[in-house]
Amino acid sequence: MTILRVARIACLIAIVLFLLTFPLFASQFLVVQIGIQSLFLGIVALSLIFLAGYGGMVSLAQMTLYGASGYLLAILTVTYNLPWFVGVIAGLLFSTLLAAIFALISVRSQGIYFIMITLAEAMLVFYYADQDRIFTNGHTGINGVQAPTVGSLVLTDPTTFYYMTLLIAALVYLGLRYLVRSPFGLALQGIRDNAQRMQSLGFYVYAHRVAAFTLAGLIAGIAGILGTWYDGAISPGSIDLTRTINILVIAVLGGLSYFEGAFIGATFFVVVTTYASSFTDRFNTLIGLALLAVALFFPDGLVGLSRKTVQLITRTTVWRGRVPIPLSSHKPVPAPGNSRTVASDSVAEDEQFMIVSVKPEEEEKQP
Amino acid sequence: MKSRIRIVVRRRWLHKLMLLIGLLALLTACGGTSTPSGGGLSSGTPASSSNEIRIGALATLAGPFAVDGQDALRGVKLAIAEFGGKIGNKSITLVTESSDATPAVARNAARKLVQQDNVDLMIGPLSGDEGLAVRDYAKTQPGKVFLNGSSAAQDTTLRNPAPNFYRFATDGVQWMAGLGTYVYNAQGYKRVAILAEDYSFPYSQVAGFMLEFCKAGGHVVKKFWVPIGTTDYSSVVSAIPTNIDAIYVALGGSGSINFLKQYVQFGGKAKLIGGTVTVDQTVLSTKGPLYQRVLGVASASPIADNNPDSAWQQFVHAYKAMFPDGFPSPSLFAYTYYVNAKAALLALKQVNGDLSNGEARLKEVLNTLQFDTPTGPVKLDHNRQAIANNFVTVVNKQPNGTLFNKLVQVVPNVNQTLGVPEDQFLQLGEFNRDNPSCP
Repeated sequence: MTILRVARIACLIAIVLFLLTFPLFASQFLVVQIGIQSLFLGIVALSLIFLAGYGGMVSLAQMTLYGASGYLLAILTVTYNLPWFVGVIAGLLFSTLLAAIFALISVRSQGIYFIMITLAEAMLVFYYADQDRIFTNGHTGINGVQAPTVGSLVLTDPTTFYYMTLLIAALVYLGLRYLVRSPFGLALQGIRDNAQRMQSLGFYVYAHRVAAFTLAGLIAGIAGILGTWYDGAISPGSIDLTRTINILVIAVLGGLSYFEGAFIGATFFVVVTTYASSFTDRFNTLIGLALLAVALFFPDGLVGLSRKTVQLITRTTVWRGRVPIPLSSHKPVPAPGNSRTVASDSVAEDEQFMIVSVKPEEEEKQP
Repeated sequence: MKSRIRIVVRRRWLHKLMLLIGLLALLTACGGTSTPSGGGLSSGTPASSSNEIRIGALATLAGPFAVDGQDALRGVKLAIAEFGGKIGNKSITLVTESSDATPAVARNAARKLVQQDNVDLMIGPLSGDEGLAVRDYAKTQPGKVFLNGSSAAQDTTLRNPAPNFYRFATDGVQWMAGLGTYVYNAQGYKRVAILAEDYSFPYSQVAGFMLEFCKAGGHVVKKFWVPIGTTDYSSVVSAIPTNIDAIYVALGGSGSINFLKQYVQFGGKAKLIGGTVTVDQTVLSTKGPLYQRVLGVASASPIADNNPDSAWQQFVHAYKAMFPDGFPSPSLFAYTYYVNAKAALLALKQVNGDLSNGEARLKEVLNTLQFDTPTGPVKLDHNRQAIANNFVTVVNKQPNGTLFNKLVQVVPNVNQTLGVPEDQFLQLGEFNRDNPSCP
C-alpha cells in the first residue's frame, strides 16, 4: 500500500508539472484550443458533477448559467462600455442569483422530473436570448468581448489566459473537494442518499439543495466569464441544447462521481471533437459510441476506469506474489453489476467520502 | 461458497474486458492526437513543405445546413480539379473542417485549420453569423489569406472589414438586386407584407428588397419576424392584413411551403415574393392546390438554375460530371465556394505559389483580381467585397407541367451598396427588424 501511495504522489506531481509546463512545450494551438477549452468546459462540468454526484441533482441548466454570466459580461462591457470588473462581478452575481431562482423552482422535484425542469429553464433562457433584441441581440449575439489587461497581465495573450484559467480551475476544484468533506458537503451527500432520513435527523433538505445549486451556479458563471472571453463573443448558439447536452456528455465520460472526471471528460471531449473531424465527418458518432461504451461498461467514467485498472493491477500482483491479502479485500464479494459495492472494497483511506455511486436511491423513493 | 468463487472469476473476466475496451477507446482518442493530418504536434513548425499548398475549407457538415455544407465542399473540389490539383510544381492539399452553423464552433474550426493544420489560405464559412466570427479571427492572423464561403451578412465586409478577408461572391443585400423594382413594375405589387426569420441573413435580404421596392414607390405595411425553425404560422397568418398585394417570404428549409399551406387554408389571397433561398426544390415540386399559387413567384439570387448562358451551362455540366451523387444543379453554396476557391487559385497561379512574406504578393494580386465566373465577371471593391451580376427569376412551368425558376432579368455589376454612394448607404445604419421602413 505504501508503494501505491508513493506512486500516487508521484503521479500527482507529474500531472501538476505537466499542467504548469504545458505552454512551454505545446504549440499555441494546443494551449488555446485544447488546454483553455478543456479547462473552462471542465469547470462547467465540475459544477454539474458537484450537483449530480454529491447532491443527486442532474442539472441541465449549467450551460445556461454559464451563458447568464457570459451574456451580462458582454452586455455591460460591449453594449454599455463599462469596465471589465463591473461586467465580471455583475455577471457572477447574476448567474448566482439566476441559479438560486432556478433552484427554488426545481429542488422539490427529483430524478427525471428534476432533469426536465432544469431543461425547461435552460430552454426558456435560450429562447429569450435568441429572440430578445434589446439586450441579447438575438441570434447574432454580442461580438467583440475582450479579455482585459490587468496591471501588467495581458489576458488576451493565450499563455497568460491559460495560466489564469488553470489557476481558477484548480481553485474551484480544490474548493469543491474541501466543501464535500465539510459538514455541509456531508449533509448534502446524506440528502442525496436518503432525503427522508436526513429530514428526520433535523436537516432542512431543500435549503441544502438550494444552497448547492446556487453555488454550482456561481461556478458555472465563472466558467461563463472565461468562456466568453475565450470566444470573444456570446450568442444563443453557445447555450443551445447541443451545448447543454455536451456538458452532460463530458460529465458522464469523465465520471459523474469524481471531480477530476470533469477535466478528464472535457479534455477527452475537446480532443475528439477537434481531431476526429480530420479523419471522419462522423465525429458525433464517435463521441456517441464512446459515451455508449462508458455508460455500458464504466458507469464511473474514465476516472472510474483508471481506478479500476490500478485496482486490477495491484490485485493481480498481490495474488501472484502470495503476499497476504490486505484486510480490505476480505469484504464480502458483492453481487455483480452493483458498482457501489464493487468499488467500496478497495477505496483508500483518504477516499472515505468519495461517492462511487451516481444513483441516489430513487427507485425506492419514486412514487 | 462455490458460487461465490465463480462470481469472483467472472468479475475478473469482466474487468479485463472493460480494460480492453477502455484501452481501445483511449487509443482512438490518442490516435487523434498523435497523427493530425500533415503531422506534428511539435509547436509551430509549419507542416507545409515548399512543394505543397494547403487550402482549408470550412463548411457546415453538421447541424441545420449539413446538406448545404456538403455541396459547398463540392464547389471547392470542382475548382481545384479545374487546376489539375496543382499550381506550377506545387500540389494542392485540401483540408476540410466542419462547423454546425454557430459562430463559436466556426471560430474554433478556423483556428484549427490555420494554427494546427497549417493551411496557407482558408475558404469559408457558410452562414452569416459564422462569417462575422471568422472575419474577427482573420484579424488576429494577418499573415494568412481568408476567403469567404457563402456567408452573406453584409457587415462582414462593409463595417469593420479585415484586410486579409476577401469575399468574391455577393452578400445577402446584393442577392436581392432587381427584385423590388421588378415586382413593383412588372408584377404591379404596391402594398406588401413581410414574413422572415429573425436573424442577420434575413435582415440583409429584407433590406435589399425594401431599398429598391420603397424607392420605386411601394409600401411595406407590416413585417413579421419568426424564430428560426418555426413550423406553425397560424398566429402570423391570422394577423396578415387583407389589403395587400403580396407577401415577401424569407424562410429557410420547408418553412415557405408550410407557411403557404397554412395561408391558403386560412383563405389568404395575396401572392408570394421569395427571398434568395425561399423558392427551392421543395417549393418547385409542389403539386395539388398550391400549384397555381406557386406559379409566378418572383425571387432573386446570384445564380439562376436555368441560366442559358454557356459559361453557366458548362459549370453545371462540370459539376454533374464530377459529382453524379450531387444535386441536379449546383446550389448557391457550391457556386459561392467555387467562385472563392477559383479566385484563390487564379491568384496563386499568378504569383506562382509564392506565399513568402506573409502572403503579401498573393494579397496584392487578390485585391485587383478580375475574372469571369459562371455567372459573369467579378471584381472587388475597396473593402474586398465582390461586385457581380444578380438574377431575377419567376416560377414558371415547363411543357410537361413541372415547375422551374425562369430567368427574367439579369442585373449587371451589383455593388455592395446597390448603387447608392457608400457614405449615404452607411448612414442608413445597420439593418434590423425596423430598418429600413416604408409603411
